[in-house]
Amino acid sequence: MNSCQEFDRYIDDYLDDALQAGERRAFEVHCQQCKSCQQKLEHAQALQAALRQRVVPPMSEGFVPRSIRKAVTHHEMHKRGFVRGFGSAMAASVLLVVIGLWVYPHMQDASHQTPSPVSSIPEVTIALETYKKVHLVFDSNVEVAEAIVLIELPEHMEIMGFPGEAQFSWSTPLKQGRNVLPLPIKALEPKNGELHARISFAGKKKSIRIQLNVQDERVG
Amino acid sequence: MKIGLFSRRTQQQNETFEELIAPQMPALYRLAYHYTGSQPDAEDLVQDVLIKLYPKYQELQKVASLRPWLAKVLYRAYIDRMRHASRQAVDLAKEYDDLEGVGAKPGDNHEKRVDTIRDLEAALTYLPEEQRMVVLMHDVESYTQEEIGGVLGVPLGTVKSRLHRGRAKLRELLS
Repeated sequence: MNSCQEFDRYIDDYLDDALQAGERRAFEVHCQQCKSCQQKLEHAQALQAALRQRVVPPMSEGFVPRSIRKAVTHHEMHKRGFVRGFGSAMAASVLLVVIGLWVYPHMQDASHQTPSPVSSIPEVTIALETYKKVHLVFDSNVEVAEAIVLIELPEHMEIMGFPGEAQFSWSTPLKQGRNVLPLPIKALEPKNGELHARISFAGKKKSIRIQLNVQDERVG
Repeated sequence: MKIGLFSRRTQQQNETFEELIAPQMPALYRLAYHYTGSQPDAEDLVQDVLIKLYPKYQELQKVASLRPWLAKVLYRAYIDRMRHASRQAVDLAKEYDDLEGVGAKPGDNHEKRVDTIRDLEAALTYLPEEQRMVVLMHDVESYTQEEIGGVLGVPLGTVKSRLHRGRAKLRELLS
């Protein structure tokens, strides 16, 4: 290589260390003899160095485990679907607590709720350090293609398979009639708490609170 | 039979997915950041990718080199987002006006030497998207040109050409 025109042709391979030994030597010799090309090369090398040092802000704290859990939760909840025949769910369950949450297409925003079929906070008993299934029943008089379900638990309670997770949200279809969501829940501490469930679709939402009373079955 | 929210098989699947993905997250996030230019957008993009990948965990196990494979998935997710975003009107001229010290507009900036640009980040925004992608992947994240060709779905010659033109443009803008 002995011309400035060839500089442009070879510079990328030179920067990437992809030239043959002879080509590399010729490139360097030319740059030593040509002040203009030498300056271009130094500029290019400085740019390469600056690019390698481009600052990327760190991920937010806990993003890796949080995002992986969210991906898993998204699919598992969706795959499991929770929409199943009420009868089969009843039959499969030994411990059954049914909480009604009625869903109608004309339901109001939570801030302007119409009287709910559930007039007071229902109570169920769960166990300390042992999973018990709580069944939430979503009763819809229409088929819904996509409803968003949000479940919030007290921090001292957990759903099987999701240690440390206090909030779950996923989308699911609803069939007309009763839709059952079985939740295996245990308490980590001997104190009561509230489960919040919310279902929303088409800009409407319906919420319910459930009192979870904790019983330590290990002590008589 | 103990009835759980997840079966034992699913638990194993979750663990396998995490073992495969967790080590790749820093590289995936960095690339997402280069694409999107912000931490929240990068995390959103990575989250989308993980949700798409989870059902493919068995396929993930068979991939010889996960880094470029994941980069390809990320790139497709990014393109999908861009296509979706492009349906919304964006005043590109205003975007360019917002660049401090820059008076050029799209259309004439690529043919002019913009001496006022001293900042690498600003200069990067002036590269055509296809060149910016290649420069960032190769010169910042050290993907090989062959890997970039696989990620972007273009021939090696195209990668070389984009890299050459992108670098030359950056040098011009920053000189």
